[in-house]
Amino acid sequence: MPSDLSTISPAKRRTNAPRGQHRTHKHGRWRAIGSYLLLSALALIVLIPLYITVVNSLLQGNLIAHQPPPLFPVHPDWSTYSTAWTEGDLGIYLRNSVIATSIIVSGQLLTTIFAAYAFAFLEFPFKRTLFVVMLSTMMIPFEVTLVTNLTTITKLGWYNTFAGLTVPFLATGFGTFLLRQAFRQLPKELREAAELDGYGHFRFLFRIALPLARPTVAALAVFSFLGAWNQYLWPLVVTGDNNAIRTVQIGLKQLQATQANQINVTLAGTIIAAAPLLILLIIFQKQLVRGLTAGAVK
Amino acid sequence: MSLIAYCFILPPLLVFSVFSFYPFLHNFKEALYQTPPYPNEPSKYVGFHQVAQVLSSTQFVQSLTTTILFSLIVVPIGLILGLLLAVAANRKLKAIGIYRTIFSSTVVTSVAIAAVIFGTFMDPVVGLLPWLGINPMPPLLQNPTWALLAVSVVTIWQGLGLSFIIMSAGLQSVPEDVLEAAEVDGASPVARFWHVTVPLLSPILFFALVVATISAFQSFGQIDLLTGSNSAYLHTDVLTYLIYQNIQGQAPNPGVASVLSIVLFLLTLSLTLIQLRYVERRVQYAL
Amino acid sequence: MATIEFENVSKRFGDSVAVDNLNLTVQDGELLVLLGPSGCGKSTVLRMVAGLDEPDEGLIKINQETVNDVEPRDRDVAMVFQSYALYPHLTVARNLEFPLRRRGVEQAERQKIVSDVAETLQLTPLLERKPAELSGGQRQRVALGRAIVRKPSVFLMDEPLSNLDAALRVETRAQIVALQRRLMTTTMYVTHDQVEAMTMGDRIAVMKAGVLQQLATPKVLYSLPANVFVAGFLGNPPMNLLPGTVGSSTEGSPVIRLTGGELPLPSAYVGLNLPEAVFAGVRPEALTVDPDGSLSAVTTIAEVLGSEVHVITALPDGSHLIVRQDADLPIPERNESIRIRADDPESILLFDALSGERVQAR
Repeated sequence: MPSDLSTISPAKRRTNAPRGQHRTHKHGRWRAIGSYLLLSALALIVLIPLYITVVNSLLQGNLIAHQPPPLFPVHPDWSTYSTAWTEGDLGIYLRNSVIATSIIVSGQLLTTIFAAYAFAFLEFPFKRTLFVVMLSTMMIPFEVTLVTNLTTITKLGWYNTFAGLTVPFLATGFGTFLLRQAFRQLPKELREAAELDGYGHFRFLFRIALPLARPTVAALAVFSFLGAWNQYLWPLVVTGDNNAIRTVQIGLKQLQATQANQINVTLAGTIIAAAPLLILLIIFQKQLVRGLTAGAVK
Repeated sequence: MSLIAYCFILPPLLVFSVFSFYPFLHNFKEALYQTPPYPNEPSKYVGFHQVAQVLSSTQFVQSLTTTILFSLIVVPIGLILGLLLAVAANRKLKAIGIYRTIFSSTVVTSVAIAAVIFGTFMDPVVGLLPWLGINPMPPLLQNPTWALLAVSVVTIWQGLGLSFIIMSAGLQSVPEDVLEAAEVDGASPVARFWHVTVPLLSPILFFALVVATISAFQSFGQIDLLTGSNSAYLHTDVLTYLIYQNIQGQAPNPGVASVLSIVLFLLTLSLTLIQLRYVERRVQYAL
Repeated sequence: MATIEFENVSKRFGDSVAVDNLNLTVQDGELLVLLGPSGCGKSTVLRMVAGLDEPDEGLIKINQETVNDVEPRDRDVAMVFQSYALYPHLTVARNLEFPLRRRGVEQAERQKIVSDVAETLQLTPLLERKPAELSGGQRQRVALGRAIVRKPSVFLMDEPLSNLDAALRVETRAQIVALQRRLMTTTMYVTHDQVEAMTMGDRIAVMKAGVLQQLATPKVLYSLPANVFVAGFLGNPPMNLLPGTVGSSTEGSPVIRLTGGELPLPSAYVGLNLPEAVFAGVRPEALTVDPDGSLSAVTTIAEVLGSEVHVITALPDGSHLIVRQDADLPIPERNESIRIRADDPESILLFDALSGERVQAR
C-alpha cells in the first residue's frame, strides 16, 4: 500500500520544464508496472457489472440460467437488441428521452444565459434580493415539491405531455450562479469597449460574452444533459402509463416488468439505454468533469 | 435598462415561482389538510393533528431510520472508494486517461440502469451473486435483512463515478511542491497522505460529504426498481419513496406527502446550513 | 558535513534534455550557486540531489555514497522551494516541527529546537500563525527555518528569494550567507540572478541548455569567463564581444582588427597560434570615451544611472559597444561620433568565433 500512495503528486507545476514521468528509472519501471496492474484490476472491478450485462444480453434465451455464467458471448444472439428496440418500445422511449432532454437542456441554457447576463452586467432595483431568491432554489430539492407540482401540471392539462415532463426544469439556480460568475470574470473593459462600439445587449452577449464564457456554457450543457437524461422520479410520476412520451429510464422499468422471463432482452435494453451517455462521456469528459466539480474546487 | 433586465430574469423566476416556491410553500398548507379515504371527497382542515399523526407513526419513524441508515452506509463507503480510485489514478502514466474515463463511467449510468443491472445479478435463479454462493432465503431483494444492503451496493456503484471525479479534482488541487517538501522533510508515503493530502483535501471531503448525503436522502429510483411496493416490509422505504407512495401509491394522501416533504426539506436544509457555515469559515481562513 | 558529486549525470524529460552529462563536485561546507537562464536545467540538478527527480544516466553521490536509489527522505537533505511550499494547514511552529516529527524526535527536544530556530530567524512572535497570515518575507523565513531545524548535511535552495521584493532580497541574501557560514552546511543554491550568484557563492556553476559551462569562483568567472555565453551572461552591462580578426597594425605591432578600428593584442596572446576569426571581449568599465581612442563609434543612447553612465554605441557594422563611465565625465550626445580607447589592453580577452571558447593565453 505505501508504494501506491507514493505518487499522489498530481500534474500541477509552476516550473515550465516539461517533467514527464516521475522517476522513470530502474525501480521506477517496476513501480509503473505495479501501477498498471493495480489500475487495471480496479478498472476491471468498476467495469465488471457492465461487461457481464453485455455478455448476458447476447445470450440465447435458453442459456440465460446456465451456470456458471459464460465469460464470453460464444454464440452472440443480437436479436435481443432488436426485440428490446421494437417489442420493448425502446426506440420510442429513446426518442422521447432525446426530445425531453433537448427541450430541458436548450431551455435551461436559454433562461440561464439571459438571467446570468442580467445579474452580471446590468444594474436594476432589487438585484441582490432577486439573485438570492434565485440561489435559494438550490436549497429546495425537487422531491419536496412533487406533491403540488403534480397537481399543477394536471390542472394545466400537461399530464402525460412533454410540457409536463420538461417545463418545471427550464430554469436552474446553480447554472445561473455558475454562468454569472463566469461572466463577472470577464474584464470590465470588454463591456465598456463594446458599448463604445455601439454594441447593444444582444450583440455584446452573443458576440463577446458568450463566446468567452464558452467553457462554462459547455460544462453547464453537459451537466444539465446528464441530469435531464437520467431523471427518474418525475418522469415516472408524470407520464403515467402513456407509452407515447415515456422516457427511456421509465422504459427500463417497463421492460423489466414485461420481459421478466426474458432477462437477456431487458439487459439488451439496459445497454441500449446506457450506450448514448457512455459515448458522450468519452467525447465530453472534460466538460462533464468541469460541470460536476464546479461547486467543489475553485 | 431595468426593464430589459427584468425581461431577462423573468422566465426563470416564473418557472421557479410556479414549480419551486409555490409548491414548496404549499406543502405547509397541505400538511394541515387531510384527504379522506373515499375518492372525490374534498380534503378537510385538521390542523396539526395530521402532522403529529405522521411524525409519530411507526411508518414514518421506520422510514426516517431507513433513510439515515441508508445514508450512513452509502455515503462513507462511496466517498472512501472514490478517494481510493482517485489516489490510484492520480499518477503520471501513459494512457492514464483511459483509466480515468473508466473510473468516471458510472457517472453516466442512471440509477435505473444500475438497478436493472444489479437486480439481475441478485436474481435468485439467473443471478451472479447466487452463483457465487450469496443466496440467502428469501432471496436478497426479498429479504428484510439484506434488501437495504443490496440497494446500498447499487447506489454505491452508481455513485462511484461522481465520487471519483470530485476526489480527483480535490487531489489535483493539492500543490505538488508541498507534497515534495514533505517528501524531502522525511515523510513516508503514508505520512504524506495522512499529514498533508488529507488535511489539504478536507474542505473538499466535507463538501462531498454534504452533497453525497443530500443526494442519498433523495434516492428513489433504485428502491422503486429493486424493492418496489415491498419496500416497507423490506425496510428500504426511504423518505422519498414514502412521499411517492403517498402521491401515486394505492391510497394517495397529499397531506401526508406534504408533511414528509417538509421533513425532507428540513434535513436537506440543515446539511446545507452546516455547509454554508463551514464554507464561510474556509473563506476567512483563506484570507 | 558532506560532499556532493555528479558523475556523468544526464536527465531527459521526453525529448528535451534537461541535464547533459554533468560532472561536478560540491566541496564540504561550500555554498555552490547554480546559475543560468530559466530552463537551463539548474533546478533539475537540485531536484536530483533531493531525489525528487531521478537521473537517466550517471551517478549522484553524497559523501561518496551513491544515492540514485535512495528515497528523498533518507538522503538527509533539506530543500527550500521557490514557492516556499509551506504546509498551509499547519501553524508556523508545526511547519518547523514537521521534519522533526517525521524523524521521531522527542517532543521536548522538538520544542527546544523549534524555539531556537524561531529565535534565530525572528519567527518567535509568529509561531502560532498559519502561512496564509504571513507576509512574503516571513514565509520565506519559515521555509528557511524548516530546512535548518533538523541540521541536514545538505541544503538545497531553489530560487528562494525570487518571490521577494528587491530590498528584502538584498537583506535576506546576506542573512542566508551568514547562516550558511555559521552552520558550514554544504549548500547548493539555484538562481537566475547573477548578482545573487556573485555575492553569495563560494563558487558558481554556470549552466546553459543542460550543459555546465564553467565552474569557478565569482572572481575568476568574471575575469576569465570560459566562453562567450558566460562572458555575456555575467556583469551589468555584460562584457562587449566584438567580432574581429587578429593581424598587424601599420607599424607592425599585433592588433585585433574590428570594424570600427583596432585594439592592441594583449601581450599574453602574442606569438600564439590564434584562430582567424575571434571575438574580442572587453568589459564596459575597461573602455573610455577619448578623442584619441583607437575605435570609432556612434552614440546610440546614454543611460544615466546616477553614479555611472552606460554609453551605448554602435560600431560601423551595427554591433553594439557599451562604455561604462563615471557620471561626472561629459556625456556624449545622441548620434555623436566618438572615439573609444581601451584603458587596460592587457585585460582584453579573445574568444574563438567558431567554438565560442576563450582562447588560452600564455
